[in-house]
Amino acid sequence: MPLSPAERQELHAQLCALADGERAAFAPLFTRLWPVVRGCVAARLPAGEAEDVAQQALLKVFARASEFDPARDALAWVLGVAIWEARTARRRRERRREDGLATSLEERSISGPSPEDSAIAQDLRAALEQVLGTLRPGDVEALRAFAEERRPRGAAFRKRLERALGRLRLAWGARHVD
Amino acid sequence: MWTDAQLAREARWAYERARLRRASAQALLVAPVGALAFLHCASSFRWNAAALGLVLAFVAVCAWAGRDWARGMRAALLAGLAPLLVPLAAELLGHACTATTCYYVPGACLLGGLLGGLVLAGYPGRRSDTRAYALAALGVTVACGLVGCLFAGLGGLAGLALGLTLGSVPVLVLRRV
Repeated sequence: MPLSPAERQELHAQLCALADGERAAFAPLFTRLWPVVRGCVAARLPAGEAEDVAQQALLKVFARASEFDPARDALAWVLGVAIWEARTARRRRERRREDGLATSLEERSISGPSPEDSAIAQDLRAALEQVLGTLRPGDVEALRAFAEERRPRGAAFRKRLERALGRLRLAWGARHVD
Repeated sequence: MWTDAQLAREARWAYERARLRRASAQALLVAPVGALAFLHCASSFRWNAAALGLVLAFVAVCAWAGRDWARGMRAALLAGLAPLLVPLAAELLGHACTATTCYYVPGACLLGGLLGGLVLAGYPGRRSDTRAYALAALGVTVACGLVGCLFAGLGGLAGLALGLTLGSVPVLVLRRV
């Protein structure tokens, strides 16, 4: 929202008066500054965030109004505060996003295997399935019972398992060991 | 997110809070000078503390209010240095105090008041003839004078009042003529 030179001068006079303690300058200054600050922040941030940041920026402008140096240009000073606030908000958002990504990666590494481990396990599982496909169903049944820890007690199963493991070793060696 | 009316209210609060913080900081800057009054040999801690508190309160309120209040306060801080420091210097230069009385300190208060009145009336900064300026200037100068002269008792206070009147009134009258 561009201001004419006359409006800029008036803005400067009002800000100087407020800096000096003239409370009567508050209302007209607020009316004049709010659209300026809102427009400035909206041009730098997404719509959902801009309104909140613009309000914070306006509060900063009024909180620092008493420090305003009359030798400076009022509009440039106000825009400087607003732009700084918008930049800070953007940095904060980016930092939050980076923190969120780091946290989710960390959580993933704590809760499960890494992607490399998963890929290796998947390859091994596929290779084992291929080898198991060459064995007899009785051997496969015994090996699955052993793997799932549901083997029955007794010497008969132990012997069956031993034979199945031997055949698995042979089949694995034939396919994967030179 | 606030409505425009709420935002205006919050902005006003932010402005007033910031002014109050700045005013308090300004008042605290004055405190070390005022604390010199505790060096007086016959000073009463309680009365000195009360007078110093009065100065700090005046300074903080005037700085927060701004405009002529702040201008009057700044002029008075400069003017108030004389009645604050002259009695102290007099006492330190020639020790004429008993446990309860300091003999020539009322004279020093008169001199300090006179100098303070002259500075106040001839302050070179931006002058203002408003009531706010006059009240702030007089209030802060008298409070500073109290810090410097309270220990001298009624004689010191009378010297201060007379000195301030003699120093400021003629200059102010001459300026108006």
